[in-house]
Amino acid sequence: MIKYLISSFLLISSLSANSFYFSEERYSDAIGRSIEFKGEITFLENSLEINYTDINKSLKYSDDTLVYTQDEKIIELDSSQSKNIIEYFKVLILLHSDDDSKLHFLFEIQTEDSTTVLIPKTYIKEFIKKIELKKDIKELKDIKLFLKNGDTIGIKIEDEIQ
Amino acid sequence: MKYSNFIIFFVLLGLGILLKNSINLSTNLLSLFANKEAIHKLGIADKLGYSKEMLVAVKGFDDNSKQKVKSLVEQFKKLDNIKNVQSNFLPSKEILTYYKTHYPFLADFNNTKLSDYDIKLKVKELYDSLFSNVFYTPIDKNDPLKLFHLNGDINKDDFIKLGSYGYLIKITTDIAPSQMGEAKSLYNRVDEIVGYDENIVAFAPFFYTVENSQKIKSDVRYIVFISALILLLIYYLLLKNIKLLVHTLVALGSSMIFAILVSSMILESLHVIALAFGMTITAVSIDYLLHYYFHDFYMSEKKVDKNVMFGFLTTALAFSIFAFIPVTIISQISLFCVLSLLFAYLLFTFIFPYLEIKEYHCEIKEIESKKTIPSYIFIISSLLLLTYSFSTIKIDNNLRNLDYQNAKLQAKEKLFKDSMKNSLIPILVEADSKEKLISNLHKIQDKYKDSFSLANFVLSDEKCKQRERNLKEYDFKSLKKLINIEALELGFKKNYFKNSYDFVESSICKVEDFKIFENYNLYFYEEDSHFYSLAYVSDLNLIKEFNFTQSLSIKDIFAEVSKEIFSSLLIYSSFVVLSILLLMFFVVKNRFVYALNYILFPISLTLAVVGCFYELNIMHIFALVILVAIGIDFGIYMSNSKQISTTTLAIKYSLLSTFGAFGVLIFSSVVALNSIGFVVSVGIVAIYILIRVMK
Repeated sequence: MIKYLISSFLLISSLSANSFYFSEERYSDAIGRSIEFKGEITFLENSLEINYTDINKSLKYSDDTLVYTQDEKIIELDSSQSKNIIEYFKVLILLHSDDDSKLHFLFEIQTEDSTTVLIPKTYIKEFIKKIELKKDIKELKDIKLFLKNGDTIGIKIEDEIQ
Repeated sequence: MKYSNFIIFFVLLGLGILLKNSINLSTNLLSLFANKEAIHKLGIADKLGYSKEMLVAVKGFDDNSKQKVKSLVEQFKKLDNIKNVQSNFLPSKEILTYYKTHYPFLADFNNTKLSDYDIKLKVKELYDSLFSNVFYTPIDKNDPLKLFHLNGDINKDDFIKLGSYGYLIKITTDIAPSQMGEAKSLYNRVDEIVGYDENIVAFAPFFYTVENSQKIKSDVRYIVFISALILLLIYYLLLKNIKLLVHTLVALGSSMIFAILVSSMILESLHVIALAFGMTITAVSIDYLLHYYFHDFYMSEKKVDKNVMFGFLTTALAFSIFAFIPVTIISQISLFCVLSLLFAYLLFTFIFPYLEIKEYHCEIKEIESKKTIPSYIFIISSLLLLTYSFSTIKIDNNLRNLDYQNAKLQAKEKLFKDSMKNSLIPILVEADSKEKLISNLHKIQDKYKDSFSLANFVLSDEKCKQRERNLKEYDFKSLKKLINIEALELGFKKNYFKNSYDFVESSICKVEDFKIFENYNLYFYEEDSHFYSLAYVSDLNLIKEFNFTQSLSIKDIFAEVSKEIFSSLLIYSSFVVLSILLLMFFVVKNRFVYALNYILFPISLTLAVVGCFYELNIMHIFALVILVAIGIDFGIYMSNSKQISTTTLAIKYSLLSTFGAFGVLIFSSVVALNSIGFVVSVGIVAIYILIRVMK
């Protein structure tokens, strides 16, 4: 079931259409407010690219390297910042990858109606409390990460980019 | 009296069965060569986890490989004698707690004083970043200004990779290579788990103990079988006297049991190689019987035969001197030989005359006519061969080459070593107090940043005090107050930073329980008020400047030990040769040069042949000394014999039996035994040439 949900969520894996419009809502517990970003997300094999088109910034992760570009200029990130983003991207890639065995290895999986909850089993639990995946008819449209520090990150997958 | 030989045998056999539990046999090759100090240091290293790691590699990086790793980890965890199984870099709960409680001491601390303006600016930057950062960056409410920074990433969840081969599982066992029983039991269980899957490779140092010991035992069984077969055939063909053959075998059996019993009482443990070698050497004592039998000693009125007695005394003298050499294998073999040859000599000389053995009947052909080459030619040839040998011979001082060459296991070990090119090498570090030991480990780490030891986790007293001072001097209270005021003004939630930097107050530097580092194979060990730990370094040459370190490389230890062995052998061999020459001069007098050829020619020919095909190892040297002991017997017999044809025949038969006893070792796959077999076989050929052609 979970395999079906995830593979249909981002579908992406076996199809050529891997890019989607998305909106990201970050709730920061530090200020008690949410901030919203919009952009395009592209999944490739073992890599991920996010473009925030409105502000002309992009992040590309492939071959264990993260590149941050602003106005087509590469900007250096400090190592700890880079590491955090990579870990976050790895989770997204994993959710997209359809790696059922690794998902079961890393998460305890609970399914209730249209919601699937992933509870981290390994070191990820130091940062992430749980991940919620929600489906809409056939495709999973919503992913929400509940972080240990009280912050949440919600990603809504919108239309596929043709 | 005619049953006395059997009575002696059965009494000794009964004693052997009675005392069999106190006969301690060892198969650890290292214990035969390394000196006590090296063995002691390796023993300490064993207690610190050295040599106790088992590595399992699963080929490939696909899902199937990951599943295999997962399943193997579960299975290994259930086994006895397994302390820890690691397939990823994830730290244990205890280590994570340790990092939390010791964080201000373990992390780098930027103690630059910040002005109020700086603090306000940094809090503002933090606030703005929430809106301007396109990537999510969590705020660390404990250290919002990032004054502390921990180097390295402790949270690595990836499977451990073994180069380009596949995934690696690191298993810590509590089995040292010397623990035969436990090693064998775990080896069998690992074998059951790993099974016949070609894509899984397991290796641990104790595998050598188990596999080599099995191989050595089966090799020894094979050699003993071949030797027994050849000897039985020779004895039957030579003696043509079933009764004498049975008595001879019984006498040899008694001599071996006697030697086993007495050497077990003297030695802590008798090595299986020394036992096998000693047992074959015992068969050489048949020389005495052959000489007595062919010269009708048992029919004569004589109480002793001087030639045999001097022959025995020279051999016994050589082995007695070697019994004191500080090289375990040689001293054990020598002790065994002195005991077994002494007992055999006593039986053949004083018991056999009462066994009613019939006279020897055989036509002996005259062969003296073929002896055409004068003895001085052999002396010259020998000197030329020796000159050639000394110019060509190379010495192999790697004692590990003497062990059974387990190619299959060596290939597995190589797979891991080659794939872990950047792996660190363990060294032993010692000090007379715990604090000093940590300080020594830091001295290594300060100089070589890539080293790994307790110094990576534990600060030295000096560093602890320094950091304590730095933390005390820093005004965290004012900092926290200002951060909270500024944060509230900017729009952060009230009291969001109320606990900032409180962790500094509750942190500690002292380590209560060092056991938490055992997952990293880092232990403390105390013995006789000395403290030891292992450190892992990239290059052994780098640590030579530290006098508190010791290399644990078996190769290094063997190289050091082999120097000592070669110098001991040189000293003891000189004593042996000198004693033999003196004794020989006293016994043969004016035929000294003739008799000397029986030592010089076999040695020079053997050295020349070894020089052509091999590197000279210590077992070659030891076998050369045995050759001297055998050669001198024949030199004495030939020089003093009045019935030269009978003596020649007796020597020929002796050579055959010597080959049956020693020469068969050439078929052994244990290099130590093979080397002896090779030297003795070439020596036999040399002696045969002498008895055929030297006049």
